[in-house]
Amino acid sequence: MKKIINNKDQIVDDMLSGYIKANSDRVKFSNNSKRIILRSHPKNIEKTAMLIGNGSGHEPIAMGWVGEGLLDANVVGDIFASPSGDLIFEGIQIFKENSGCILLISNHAGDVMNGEMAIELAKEHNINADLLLMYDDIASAPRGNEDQRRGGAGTTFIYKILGALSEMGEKKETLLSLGKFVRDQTRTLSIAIASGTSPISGEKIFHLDDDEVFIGMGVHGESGYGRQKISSSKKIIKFMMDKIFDDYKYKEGDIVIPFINGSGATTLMELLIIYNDVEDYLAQYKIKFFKPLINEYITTQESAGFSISLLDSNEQMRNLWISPSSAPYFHL
Amino acid sequence: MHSAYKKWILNSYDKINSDYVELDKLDQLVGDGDHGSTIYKGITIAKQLYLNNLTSPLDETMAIISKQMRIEMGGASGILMSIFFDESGKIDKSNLNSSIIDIFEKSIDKIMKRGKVKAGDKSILDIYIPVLNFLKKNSDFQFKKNEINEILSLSLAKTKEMQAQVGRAKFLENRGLGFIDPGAKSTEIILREYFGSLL
Amino acid sequence: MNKQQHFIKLLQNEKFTALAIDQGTSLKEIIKEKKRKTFTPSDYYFFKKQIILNLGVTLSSILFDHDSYLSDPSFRTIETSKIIAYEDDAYNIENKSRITLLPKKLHQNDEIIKDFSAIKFFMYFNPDSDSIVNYEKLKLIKHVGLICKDLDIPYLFEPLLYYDEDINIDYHNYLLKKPIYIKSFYKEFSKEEYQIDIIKIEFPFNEFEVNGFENDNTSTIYSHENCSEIMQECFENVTTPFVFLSAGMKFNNFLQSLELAKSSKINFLGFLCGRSIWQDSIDIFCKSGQASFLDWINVEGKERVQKLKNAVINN
Repeated sequence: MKKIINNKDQIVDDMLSGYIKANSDRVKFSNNSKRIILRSHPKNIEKTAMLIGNGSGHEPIAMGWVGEGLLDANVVGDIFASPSGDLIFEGIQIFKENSGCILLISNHAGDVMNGEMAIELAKEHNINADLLLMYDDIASAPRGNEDQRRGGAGTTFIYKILGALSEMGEKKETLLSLGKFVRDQTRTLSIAIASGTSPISGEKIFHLDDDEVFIGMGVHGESGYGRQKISSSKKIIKFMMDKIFDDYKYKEGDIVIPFINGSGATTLMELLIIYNDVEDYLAQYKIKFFKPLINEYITTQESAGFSISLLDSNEQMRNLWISPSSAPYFHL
Repeated sequence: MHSAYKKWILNSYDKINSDYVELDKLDQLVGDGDHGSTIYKGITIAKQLYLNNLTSPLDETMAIISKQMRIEMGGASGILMSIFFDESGKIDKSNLNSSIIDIFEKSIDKIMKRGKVKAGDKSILDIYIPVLNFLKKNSDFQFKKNEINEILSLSLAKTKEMQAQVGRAKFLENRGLGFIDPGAKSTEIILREYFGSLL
Repeated sequence: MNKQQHFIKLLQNEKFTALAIDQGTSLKEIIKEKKRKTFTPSDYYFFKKQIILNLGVTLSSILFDHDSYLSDPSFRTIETSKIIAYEDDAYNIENKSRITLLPKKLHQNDEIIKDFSAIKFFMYFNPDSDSIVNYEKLKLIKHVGLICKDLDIPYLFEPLLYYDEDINIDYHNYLLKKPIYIKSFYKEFSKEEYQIDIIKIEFPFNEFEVNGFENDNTSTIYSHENCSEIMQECFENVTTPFVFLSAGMKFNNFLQSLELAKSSKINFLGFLCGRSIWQDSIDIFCKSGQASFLDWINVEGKERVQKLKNAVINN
């Protein structure tokens, strides 16, 4: 494996150390743990804190999103592994004086189990904390079973919109409601083009032939709509957008926020071509778009691939989407 | 009991130390290829903590070990596999059979609640539950190591033909059919050493 | 006496030609249903006693269940060799796993065991069933083998094939697979580890499948030649002696099957037959009364016994 690291066991800690040093004006470690990333300048305790616990290896999410207008804390797990419920609870405890606390959890087995444990501990300690489960990947479960779906790139909408609203002092219950609404209006579909390498095992994460792509594959190689031969951007986008449109009933005049997320090795050149075709597709159905985000935000090492996420938005969501944030790695 | 448990943990460490690459490979098929390395982290910390707590009461030691394993391992395997270690601290030498049965019942109950998993979903439960059934059927007799080993092997082999309903494998094209669940394999190792040291 | 000596006692003209009359509660239920208001438990005991004292004593040995054996002191004085069913009533078997239960009232150290020349044990078995259930069953079969070894008395084991609904095979294919199953039974239970002295086994085909047997001819797939071949395939390397059970076949079909086995030169020790001999007389006993029943025994019953003996004893 050709990665520039030091000791394998130190990957996460070396990375976080570098991150904090590079952005010390905005982020810092918590006093008791070098796996809890906080804002340098915490939010007013009258506001609801927004936290997430997730595994590393997908940078910049989520540590790169700690900052004003976004997250208050990221509890960082080992590569591809959720942090323990104990550590997540430690993170929640930092905000016990806040008026409320929301723990965002992406729907993956480890994240959910440990997140639920943390919330149980929080409630036992009378901390006003709740969990918001996030899921959006249409390939992982059929319509009607949305809550079985994996959390994918579309969870970004929840992070940003709730981050912005919590900054305005909105209370926890309202934030949770909005979060669920945004979740219900979000659809994501991904495609895998080539596998990256796990820094832990040194092995490829999944296997694809040179001329194959896999639509709907999960970040760790889980299946979706099956393997296909690689074809043009237009053809691929048509396939993917058709699937998204099968899953959610968009109407003429809807305004969607598109997010094209690269998984690490797909060039900006390609992502822009892709976006060009996405917009043509939307135009066909007379659907408008608003402030698209095109970047590599939720990566899987150096995997090639991307996902299309669409949020069927309302005005409130759009305003919150574009409100400013000082998180080191979130830029619209 | 302390000497039996010491043997259990040290032996488990040795076995996982030599097998973790193979366990990683099993996980390669259905996950990230890191289950072996993860459980190795966990059992390493268990060994260290055990040796540093020889004079403490067993239930306290096992509770500490369970918590640290969970923290060290993280993920789904950390939170689920550490449960047995915690419950195992409640062994009662004077009531061996019934306390072992109790340990298994409580572990299974907690795993089911935490993991929202049941028998046949292709998880570590598919090792624990057949063992519990065997223990209950034979509760009036001395438990025999070789019979339990047979149950462990058979249960593990059975997971091959199961389709995963939980965890990452459930998203695979074939839901992991034809492959042994890596968590079930490491559980089998740990339980084999457990009964090997205790009986 | 040791196993060898007991074994010889079980035979008549070097053949095992035995009566099975160990069916318990299920037989009682059948009689109760047919007799309705006039039924009393003594009807069940009477029925069995007449079969035993009139037909059983002319055969090489008699297989009893513990409860019936104790119901009449005259049974202990019969000179015909006796076999005891070492099981709890089959009626109590759990539906899912179908594991045989060990007897509740009989123990290997009981004095009464000395009356018997063999211990019989049966187990519902399907090789494709859940591997852990099968492991438990095989363990139990070996356990009874150990008991027989300790008592130095022959172990007569009966594997009974059944359709396990949890297995991914439809009933039709299950029936077609019977020869394979029976072959695997013989192979498995001949292994030394079970310490089985006689295997009691079914014919590897079903009576409604054979052309020329008494059946409605709608499902026949085998000719007599096919049946010969199947039996030769199943029993090609005979190490442990085995006898055929009747599985409630029509009498004439069972008889024909035995004759076919003999003419195909199958190396079988004989039969252990129950229902095929006497199940037709249940109706007569229940509907027509004791006198008709005794007439049937003395004419039809005895004729049947003689025909079966002729089918196995070498001329």
